[in-house]
Amino acid sequence: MDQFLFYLRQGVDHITDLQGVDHLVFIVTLCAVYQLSQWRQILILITAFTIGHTVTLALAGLNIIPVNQQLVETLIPITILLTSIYNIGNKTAQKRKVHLNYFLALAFGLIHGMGFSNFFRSMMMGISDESIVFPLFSFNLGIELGQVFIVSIFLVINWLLTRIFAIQHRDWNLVVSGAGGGIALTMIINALV
Amino acid sequence: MMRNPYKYILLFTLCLISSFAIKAHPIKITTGKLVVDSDSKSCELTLNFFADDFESTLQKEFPQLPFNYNDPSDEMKSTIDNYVVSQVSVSIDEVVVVFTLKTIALIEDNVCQVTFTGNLAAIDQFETLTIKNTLLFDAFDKQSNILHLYFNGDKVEILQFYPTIPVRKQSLE
Repeated sequence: MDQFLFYLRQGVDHITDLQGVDHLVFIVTLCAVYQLSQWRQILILITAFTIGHTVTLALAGLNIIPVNQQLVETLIPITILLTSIYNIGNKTAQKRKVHLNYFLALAFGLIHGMGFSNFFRSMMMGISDESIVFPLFSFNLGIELGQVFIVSIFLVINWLLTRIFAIQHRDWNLVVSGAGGGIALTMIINALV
Repeated sequence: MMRNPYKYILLFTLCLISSFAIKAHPIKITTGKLVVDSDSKSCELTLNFFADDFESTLQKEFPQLPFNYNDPSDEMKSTIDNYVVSQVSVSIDEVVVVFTLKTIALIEDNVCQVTFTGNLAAIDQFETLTIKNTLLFDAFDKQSNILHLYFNGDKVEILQFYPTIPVRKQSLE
């Protein structure tokens, strides 16, 4: 149980870490186009992202696929930037474009999973005499919990601003996506320089 | 588009956040294993570092030739030994364990592993373990160290050390 909680906490801490905001910014940008009333679509979107990152986290965590850390660190902000551009171009979640959103979440999830695996593999470096399946499961579950926490907080803020302060959802999306894009650009420059 | 004054506050806040929060995830971590055996009155400490972080930190403090893990020089052994002993300390029921460097190896592409042995002959009771682990804390702000603790063949706990929590106490009972 202690081990389970240890790796679970590592997963939660990793995705909610304010000193390393790449995954957090991606999730926030991904959800920027949605409102609280569209929670079913958000659930599908987050599930698609989860499926994507779970696949590559498991494959890389179990050493089935190799991961180029430098490349992944560059690709992650690119996924944020592309999501942000997509959001600014679309402004609101239109039904006909929702399926493309799910596909993007799934595809980008594959890249973020490799990022998670970099951290997971670092935690397990040199600890070769025990099975990593259980730690991997616990860590991934922690990431899911952290993800649900981020989305919940984000949607509550979204609801408060749009309902109480009468900010249009369209403006909210533009501002959040713009900020996400700005952060992503800075990260890309940092990764390349 | 921006007639509501709250929008300006929102825009300002998010611009502020976007100008500060620009870091991706830095991975600054060491892992390790401490195996304590009360029957044989011995213990083994294994530490794993990212070789580039470890070497750059030690080279800054003790300038010397690049580390050769295949054939460690006496200077390299002494540097690593002195550094680890200055940053990691283990005491069992207030008795400090003296460690002796055993091996240095590159176990993966960028992972350096060092092992130490400790003699516990002076220890009669094994009730409480106190560990200080400040490896690389001076070098990296985001450094944390993970240590898997085993006692008499059983895994007791996974301990994590941060700059804010450099010392951990653990009951062995």
